[in-house]
This record gives sequence, structure tokens and C-alpha cells, in this order.
Amino acid sequence: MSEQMMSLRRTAQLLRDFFAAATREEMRAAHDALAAHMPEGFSPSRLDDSDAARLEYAFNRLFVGPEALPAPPYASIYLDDDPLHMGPSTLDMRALLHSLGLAAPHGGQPDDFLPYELEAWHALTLLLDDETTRPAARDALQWLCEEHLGRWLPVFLQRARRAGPPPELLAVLDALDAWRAASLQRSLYENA
Amino acid sequence: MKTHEHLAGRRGFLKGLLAAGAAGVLGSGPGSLLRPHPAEAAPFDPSAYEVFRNACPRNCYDTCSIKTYVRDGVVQFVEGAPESTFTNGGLCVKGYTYPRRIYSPDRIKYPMLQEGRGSGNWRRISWDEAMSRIADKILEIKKRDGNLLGLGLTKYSGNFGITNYGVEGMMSSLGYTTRFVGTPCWPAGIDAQNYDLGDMWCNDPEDLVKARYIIVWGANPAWCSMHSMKYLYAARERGARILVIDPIFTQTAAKADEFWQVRPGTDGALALGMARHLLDAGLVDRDFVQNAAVGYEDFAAYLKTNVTVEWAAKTSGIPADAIRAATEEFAAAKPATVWIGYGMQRHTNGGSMVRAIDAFVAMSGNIGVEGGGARYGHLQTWGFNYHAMIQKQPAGSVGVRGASGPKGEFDFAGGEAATYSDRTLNINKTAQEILDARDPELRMLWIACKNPFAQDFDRNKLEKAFAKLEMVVSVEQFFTETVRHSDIVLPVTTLFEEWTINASYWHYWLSLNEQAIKPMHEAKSNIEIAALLSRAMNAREPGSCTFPQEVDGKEWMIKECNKGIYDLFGISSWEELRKGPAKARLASSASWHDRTFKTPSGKYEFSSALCARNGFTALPEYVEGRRPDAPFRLMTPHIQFGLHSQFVNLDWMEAYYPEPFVYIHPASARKKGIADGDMVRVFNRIGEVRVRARLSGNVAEDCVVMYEAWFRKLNYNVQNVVDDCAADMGAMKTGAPGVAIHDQFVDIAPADGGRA
Ligand code: SF4
Repeated sequence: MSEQMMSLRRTAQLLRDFFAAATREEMRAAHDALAAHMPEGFSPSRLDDSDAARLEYAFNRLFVGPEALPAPPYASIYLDDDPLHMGPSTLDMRALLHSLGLAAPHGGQPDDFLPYELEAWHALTLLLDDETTRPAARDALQWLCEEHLGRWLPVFLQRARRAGPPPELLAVLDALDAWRAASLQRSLYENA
Repeated sequence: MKTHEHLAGRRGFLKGLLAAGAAGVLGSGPGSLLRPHPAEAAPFDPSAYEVFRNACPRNCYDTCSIKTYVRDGVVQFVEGAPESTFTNGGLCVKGYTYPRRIYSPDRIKYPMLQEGRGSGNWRRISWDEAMSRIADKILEIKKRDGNLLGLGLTKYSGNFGITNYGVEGMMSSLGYTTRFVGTPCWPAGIDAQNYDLGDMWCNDPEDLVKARYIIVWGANPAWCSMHSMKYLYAARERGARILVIDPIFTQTAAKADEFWQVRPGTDGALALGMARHLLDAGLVDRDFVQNAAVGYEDFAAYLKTNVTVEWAAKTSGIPADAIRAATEEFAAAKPATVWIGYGMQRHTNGGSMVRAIDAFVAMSGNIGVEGGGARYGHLQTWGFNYHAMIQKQPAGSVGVRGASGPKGEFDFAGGEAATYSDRTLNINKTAQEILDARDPELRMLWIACKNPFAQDFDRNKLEKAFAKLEMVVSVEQFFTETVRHSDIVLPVTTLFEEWTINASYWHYWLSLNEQAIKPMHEAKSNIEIAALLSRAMNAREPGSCTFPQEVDGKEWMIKECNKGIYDLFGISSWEELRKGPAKARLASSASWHDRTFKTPSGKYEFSSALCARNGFTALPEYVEGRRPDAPFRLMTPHIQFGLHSQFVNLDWMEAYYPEPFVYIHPASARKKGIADGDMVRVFNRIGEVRVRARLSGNVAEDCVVMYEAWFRKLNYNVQNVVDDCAADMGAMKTGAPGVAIHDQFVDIAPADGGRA
């Protein structure tokens, strides 16, 4: 297992935690953990109360609601002909999750929610460690990184950046972008 | 289209992962969000649609029966139910957008709390936290005031599914509260028909085909009841003549044989002129007026003394010859009918105008006749149990002293005598009532199935009124202006995510609404929300809320049904509705077919003592309309691509209808220096709207038209310039008079240098 892979796995988990955060405290904790894991670009590395409040409001404005979202964190919005939930891309992800013996936590939550996709990537990389599962996992990762996440994250990131995120959110977007770029290297999965 | 099975087919890795037993290898890691799912071996079957029964519950004449096709737990498409001859297998353009409503990324997903109303600083909260905050506030109000009258509910027609009356039930289960009563929609006409006939009861719209002469008076079914249009066409194919009377040259008017552009608010004069001509030409149905009616002689005397066709022509703007000719044709055609639209009664003299039309139809002998009738609406098929609605106040609840008053036309709870009752405020003066409420002040407002900032009048005043409220909770699907003015928003299910049952106020079909999919995100139905609130209330103060703490949507739907409903619709159980909607077994397609009226006299009342007692004239006399205080009359009718603020925000609708306009006659525009497409200010003493002008000969020179709608990206709201001036009638049956929505006056001027 390469050190880079170890690090990217950790990044994926921390990004998952961040984008799944429901409360200010969860958001702050995920942000600070990311900053500790990959300090570059994170300043300050620990958020004070007013930074955390600003982050929460901005996060909800961009990704949660209740206002119309500039950058919904769901694949189908970007990949499908119709920018809607539960489209073909959502069902692609559902199929992938099911093949991994996994499912979204409840029926009304789209399977292509960014944190689930990051977790699926993480799960697939674990399967690289096992010879029997490695070939299929490698193919699945290639699809997930190149044809799925690799296609929608750039548009998502562009929309999120355009929506004027505060610096603490911008740092997380940069971290996601860096992770995305790294996840595209096939060698990462070949050498596993 | 790329689909699930395509991925499965194209991507061997899915099978590879399954074959390799990947599922067994993965444990759930720290912080895992995903849950285990048993490996799927069964191949996917693309033909495996599940079909569900639904009903469009919006405030629309048509209340369509819907067939919903679900695959993979996802609504793929919807169609009109073919089993209903009214819906006839098709929906309107709005109905076909439903999947885009369910799956819109703009839907409100979670309970949210706004820190600083209007600040845009939203926090996501759990359902538990939302309910805790709400319950704490309710209990605090109760402690402070010694009652719960500081808690108000405003709710109307956003979802007419019967179980949604559980919102009213929730309020009752907390105690005596403040209710906004009345209806902005149709109250003046309801009272008018009650004075004349004893109830509002229209013929089956499917019997329009039998009519030989049809007047569509102040309604635009081509937009607002498109399923009725096929009966108009069929009638015409069978030789019927269609006359449309409207201040606007509508799409319905475009399809008619004849169109009269009536001066708004003078329809009463026109109807009286037509009645006078029936008299003059000896075309009165003597049998009806003598045997089935009371007060006819007085009315005839009134007509002879006060009304001439020439006067009616001068007042209404319709030539006397045309009035005479149409009246004669109407009387000669048997049967003949008038469809009385709701727009026509949204005037200070609206009720009196409906009474005048009723009288004209009655004199012509077309009441109680198949294919005839003065059609307005009905609530004959709404005899549900109102199980969700009827909840008991907790022991010891205190409210307004005395028996309860009516709570609107859909209040089926009955007015049982009670020591205390709810406080009722006029829904049509919501802003003023909030500002004026005292002892106690209105402190908290619960908003469901309604968007006050889009539908309530005098928006600027409403802004001030909301500033007075200590807590605003709205239950919504999208981020409206009302949500912007809320402290807490709760995500509510769409019709596809809940069980309920639906009837219509126009046709006679009954539709089941099954839950077709799991609720998206964290949405809950209104009754589930009520149950959650009850749990929070009782955890804090046992006995403080009587609403059941667990509800099952399907069971609650079943509890709305009863033998009366089953007998009326000729079914043995609600389950038969799974095969398709059912139509009421009608003795005749005609209302009042046995000429037994529900008036005090049991007859049609040309002269109504009850009406006189309520402060109006006993006879349907002419009443002058509201006097203008600005150069143009403003009309704000309904748009084709939305129902009030619903639908217009969806992408398909935005494609058809991307921006609103104010429609102005070219001659008037020229005088004002306005060219087509110019940005203009439409203004009066209460506010202004900035919007582009569209020059159109469809409106009269002294009128401008702006359609009522909500555009998510635009700051457009017709209620900026519509005040809360009351219509004449409505208080008797709905608890408050209607609103003179179309008696509004504005000026118009180029804005921002005109071209923008
Ligand atoms: S809006 Fe009216 S016509 Fe359209 S689908 Fe709903 S009920 Fe039918």
C-alpha cells in the first residue's frame, strides 16, 4: 500500500465527513481534521466560533438549502440530461453500491450524494488489497474516477467557487480538487 | 438514456464485484454513512414498472386522477388516468412536470432554522430539534398568555388531499388557537348561490356536451380547466354555440363563437339587461318562475323599473343588439348553461353579479336541467370523516368564549356548541389582522399548504405584519418568499410521497392517492409532522397535545372513508380505487334536478330574505363597482403554467414561461411612451411592481393585466399592488367576505429609462 494511497484514503474520509456534516460542530471538526491532515491552503487551521458560523451559513447556501442551491453535491445534477435527482447517474451509483453490498442510509437520500461516492471510492480501494477482488475493484475505480466523479466534480467545483465561498470553504474545495486530480492517476490503483 | 441496467450491462465490474464477494469483504469503517445491503443477484428487469394511483391535489378545477410509473423506487413518468372520463388519460402541462417537482434539486431537504429572519443565515437542524424549539415556544406562549390564541394557523389550498386537514387537527390538538378563516378564491359566489339556490351545487361538467348554448362567463378553462374544454368542443360539434364573456380576450375566448369584452365589474348590469330582454321578448320560463321559485314578480318589477337593455349596454360596453340576440338564442336553445367563473366574483359587487346571472339562468328555465345550470362549483362529494381534522383540545384548554364560528367552506367539522372556541381572523386581510390582533397578540404563525407572500394581499403591509411575529414556521417544498420570512422551515412531502384521498369541487370523481415512493431527503407529510410535534409537546408537558404520536399514512387515509362515500361512488371499499378513480352515482347529471332547493322557502329565491338580513338587497339588484383611484384597472388572473405560486419555479415551466409581463393595450402604451418590451413601473398607493411591458390588444385600453405567479429568480409579486379591499359576500358560508382582487387600480410609467 503506497503512502499516497493511505493519505488519499484519509482525505476521502475527511472530505466525506465534511460534506455530510449536518451541524456547525461537525463541519468545524471535519474542517479542522482536514487542515491537520493537509495543512497547505488551510489558514487558519482551526476555526474560531465566528469562522465556523460563517462556514456553516455558506455551506448551507451552496450545498444544503433551503434556498435553491448553486452547487448541489449530487452527481446526477451534472451528469444527466436533466438536472434532477434520482436520474440515471444516481442509479449507476446505486448499482455500484449494491455490488459492494452497500446502500444509501435511507430510500429518500440519492445514492450519488458526494459523501457516499467518496465512501464508495474508499471501499473500492480496500478491495485492491485482495487478489480476488482486485481486478473488478480496479475497473470500478477507473469508472468511478474517470467517468463519474472525474466528470462531475470539475463542474461542481466551478459552480461552488463561483458562488463566492468564504476562505475556509474555499480551502476545502481546493482539497477536494486536489484529491480529485490525484484519484485520476491509474498508477495509484495498478501498484496497489 | 444511460440507465442502471446499462451500467450493469456495460460494466462487467459490477458482476465481478458481486462474483468476488466484495460485499463480504467490506466491513463498515469509522464514520461510515452507508449501510449494509444484501448482495443482489437477480438481474434487473426494465419492464418492471410498478403503477400507483395518485391525484393532483392543487387548487385546480380538474383534480386529475394520475397514474404514476415507478421503477427502481423512482417515479419515471406520470399520465392521466384513462379510467376517469374527465381526466381522460391526459394531464395538463403542469401535471406532466410532476417528476421534475419531486426530483428538483431546489426542494427543501431538511428542517432548517434561520438565524435572523431574512438574513439568509440558515442552519440545518434535526426534526427533533425543530420540534423542540417549536414545542418550547408553544408552551412559553401558553404560559405567558394563559391560552394559545397567540398561536395562529394560515393554510389554504396548496394540497387539498383530505388527510392534510390534519394540520387543522394539529392546531385543535394543542388547544384553542387563532385561525385565518375565509377564502380568497370563491366566497362571494358561494354565498350568492346559497341565497338563490340554498347551496353551491353545479351540474356534472361532463354534461356540458348536452348544452346547446354555453356562456363561459369570467372563466378561462383553456388555461385553468383544460379537461373541461373537450366538453365545450363536443357540444359545439353537436351544434352548440359558445359565448365567452370576459374583460380579457383569453385563450378560451379565442376558441369561442362569440366574445364579449365586458367592462370589468359590470357583469351584473349585463346579466340584468339580458334578464330584462327575456322579459320583454316573452322568453321567461313561466313554469319555473311560478312553480319552482319565489320572488319572481318582485324581480320582474325591479327589472321593469330599473333596467333597460340600453342601460346594460352602456354600462357593460356590450352593444344592445348583441345582448338581445344572444339572449334570444340562449332562451331558444334547450338546454343552455352559464359557467360562472371565480374571477367574475372577485369584485366589491361580485356576489351581486353572481346573483344576477343565477337569476338570468333561472328565468330562462335552465336550472335543474341536464346540460343547463348556473355552474359555479360544488362540495357534494366531500363527505369524508375528517378524522385527521377533528381532534380534541387538551383538557382545560382556554380560548375565545362562546361557540365556534365557521372556519371556511371546507370546514366539515360542524359547529358544535362549546364553551370556548378558536379566534378567527380574516384570511383576506391577513396583514391587517396580524397587525391588529390584541389580547393576546398573534405571536407565532404556522403556515402550511399556503404561500402568504405570494397570495395574500398588500405585500408591503404583510412585511410589517410578519415583523411583529415572534416565530414563523413554514412547511414547504421550495424556497418561497414566505420561507424567506420564516424562522423555521420544515420539508413536506409531495403527493407521490404520502397517502391521501381526493375529491373535486367541479367534477364528480374520487381518486385514491397512494404513496408511490419513499419521501425524498427528510420530507414528512403534514400528519407525520403533527405526530412529531405531539411527541415533543407531550415529552415536555404530558397531556399538552392530543394528536396521536404515531401515524400511519395509509391507515389515516382509510380512516377518512365511510359508507356514505362508498355508497355515493358505488364502491365497496377504498381498495377498489386502486383499479382507478370512481365517479359518483348521480341520479341526474343536473344539480337541483328535482327542483327541491335548500333555501328557506325550498324554492329558487329571486328574492332572498336571508340575503336582505345579511345586509344586501333581497333582489339581485345592480350594485355599482369600486370607484377607480388610478387611471388603469389592474387584473391579476391565473397563469397557464402555474397554480398561484406552484409549478412556475420548475425548469420546464421556466422554459415556457421565463418571465412575467404587464399586458397593456397598444394605444394606452403609446400615450404613456411605452414600447413593447420596455421595463415599466406599475404602481399605486400601496406599492409597485417593476416588469416588462407587452403590448396586447387582448386587454381593454383602460385595463392592464399581470398574471399572478412566483418566479424563483425574479422579484415579481403582483400583491405589491393588490390591496385587501373586501368583496361583498362570502362571510355567511366561509367565515369572511372575499377579496376584490380585480377591483384594483394602478398607474404605469416607463422605468429605468424604458428599454432595459
Ligand atoms: S393542475 Fe389541474 S389540469 Fe393540471 S394535472 Fe393538476 S388537476 Fe390536472
